[in-house]
Amino acid sequence: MNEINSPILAVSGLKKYYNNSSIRAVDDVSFTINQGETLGLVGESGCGKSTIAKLIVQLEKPSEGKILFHNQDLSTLNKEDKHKNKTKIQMIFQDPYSSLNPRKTIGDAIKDPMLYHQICEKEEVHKEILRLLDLVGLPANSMDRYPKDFSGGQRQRIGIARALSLKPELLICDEPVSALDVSIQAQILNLLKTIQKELSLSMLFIGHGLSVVHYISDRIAVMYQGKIVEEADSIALFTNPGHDYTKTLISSIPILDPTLRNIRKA
Amino acid sequence: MEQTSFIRRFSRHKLGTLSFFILCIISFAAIFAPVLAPFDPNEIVGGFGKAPTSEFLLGTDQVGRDVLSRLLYGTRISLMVGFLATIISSAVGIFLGLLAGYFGGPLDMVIMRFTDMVMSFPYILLVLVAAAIFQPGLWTMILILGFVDWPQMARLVRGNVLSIREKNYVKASKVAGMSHAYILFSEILPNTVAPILIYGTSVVAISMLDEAALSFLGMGIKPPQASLGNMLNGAQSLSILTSKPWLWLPPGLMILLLVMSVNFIGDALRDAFDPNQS
Ligand SMILES: Nc1ncnc2c1ncn2[C@@H]1O[C@H](COP(=O)(O)OP(=O)(O)OP(=O)(O)O)[C@@H](O)[C@H]1O
Ligand SMILES: [Mg+2]
Repeated sequence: MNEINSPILAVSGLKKYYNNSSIRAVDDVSFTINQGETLGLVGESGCGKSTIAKLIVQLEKPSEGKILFHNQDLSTLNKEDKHKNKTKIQMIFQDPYSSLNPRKTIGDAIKDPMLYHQICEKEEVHKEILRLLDLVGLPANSMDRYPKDFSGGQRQRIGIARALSLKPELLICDEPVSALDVSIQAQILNLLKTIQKELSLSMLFIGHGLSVVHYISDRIAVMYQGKIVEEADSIALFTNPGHDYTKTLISSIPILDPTLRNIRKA
Repeated sequence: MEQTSFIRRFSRHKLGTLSFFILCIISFAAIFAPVLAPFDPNEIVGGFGKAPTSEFLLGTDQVGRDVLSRLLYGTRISLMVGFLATIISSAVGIFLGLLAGYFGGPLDMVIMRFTDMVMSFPYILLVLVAAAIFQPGLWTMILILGFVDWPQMARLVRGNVLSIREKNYVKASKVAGMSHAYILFSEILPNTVAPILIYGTSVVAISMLDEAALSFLGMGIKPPQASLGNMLNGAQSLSILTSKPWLWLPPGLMILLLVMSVNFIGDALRDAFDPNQS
């Protein structure tokens, strides 16, 4: 199939202004994500990355512009179709500590949305949770535990399991490793990469440093003050950066990553 | 395993633990008043205002009723008023606070203006006016107290909801398309239980004091029914205060004991819910 080239998400002319247009968090942004592709979104703190994520998952309403998912504007759907489509885009949050309800067991946190959307039968749900926990590398007994028993990295794994439980087609990852120890970051990145391949998920991966985003993305969009200033293939961006801000980002990568070092030398 | 550490932290508060057992014993005595009371609380069974004897352990009041029996029945009324009024006001306050905090916007504004309005009335005046308008009695009093105590609860809950609704787990639920009811009652409400319970204990104490005050003023529980406030009402004169302490000391001490126990339990709950104390 040639589905690889048909966009799953198409964003055009997207704007989000706060405080009567005095804060232009997102200012006329357009991009597409193809089926099975990971688009990286980098930029400094406050440039509007999270706002784009919130707009895509409809936590916020755009001031202007369109977000098309499978060529459909989700905001114009009727209630029933909206409900059906709600499972198809899921999100993983930056802060794993506030992303789990401290008063819910891990099992319940994963189970409730699955049952609500009738993703699986009541009798099957236990098995399904075990499968998801195994998929993200957590022991089966995590199910009856509370979030306080888990580290940041483990919580992020739980967040990933919860997002995957709804069988999404598009996964929005808003700086999923920024809050984690460097030693844990690679584990979570690898997990996301493996899962993305296995399930042929489409992904928007947000980060503020190029090294992390480069590792996981097929294509990278560079954002600066609410606008996308450059968009290129993950490798082409390094070999031939167009915008000054991109060059700053590249030069700020510590030369520890051998693949990046080679690209930069070239 | 959450529960055991909660109980451990609660029991570290010695006064709170003691208060809990005292309240249990008092509640037991009050609930089983019909079995435990030696006499009918409203019957004239002895001499007028007689000092304690082996027959009347706490003496008799001015019309010859057994003080111990009236104390048991009066405590029953106080506990009922305290807990039922708190349940009503908490239900109203929690409901309005959840709606205002979660939905925000115009609904929040309407609810909060209404809350401010109720709060800006002098509390005691509101209670007195309501008591004057409606037929005095047990249920009137419970309803009146229930409907004047909710604004603080509403504010407290709203404040908590405002911070909890920004948490990622609430956002995750929204992204997953969960219903408002699920988010409100399964994600948000369980995380406000601690402040609600802690504040609730102080409402219980206030309601019991209000019962005593209203009945003392003759606008609460109708005599001859026994309530702690009614018993104090019957012991107003200076001569009784000095010469017949068994008429006012038992209900007075009981009120003190109840209010203090409930407040200490509130303190212990505060400690037990505090996650920083492991
Ligand atoms: N609800 C809001 N009201 C007003 N301003 C907002 C709001 N949300 C975000 N902003 C502003 O919009 C801008 C973009 O915020 P956003 O959270 O999207 O940045 P970000 O790129 O995700 O940054 P970070 O890397 O720190 O997460 C910031 O200047 C922020 O202060
Ligand atoms: Mg952000």
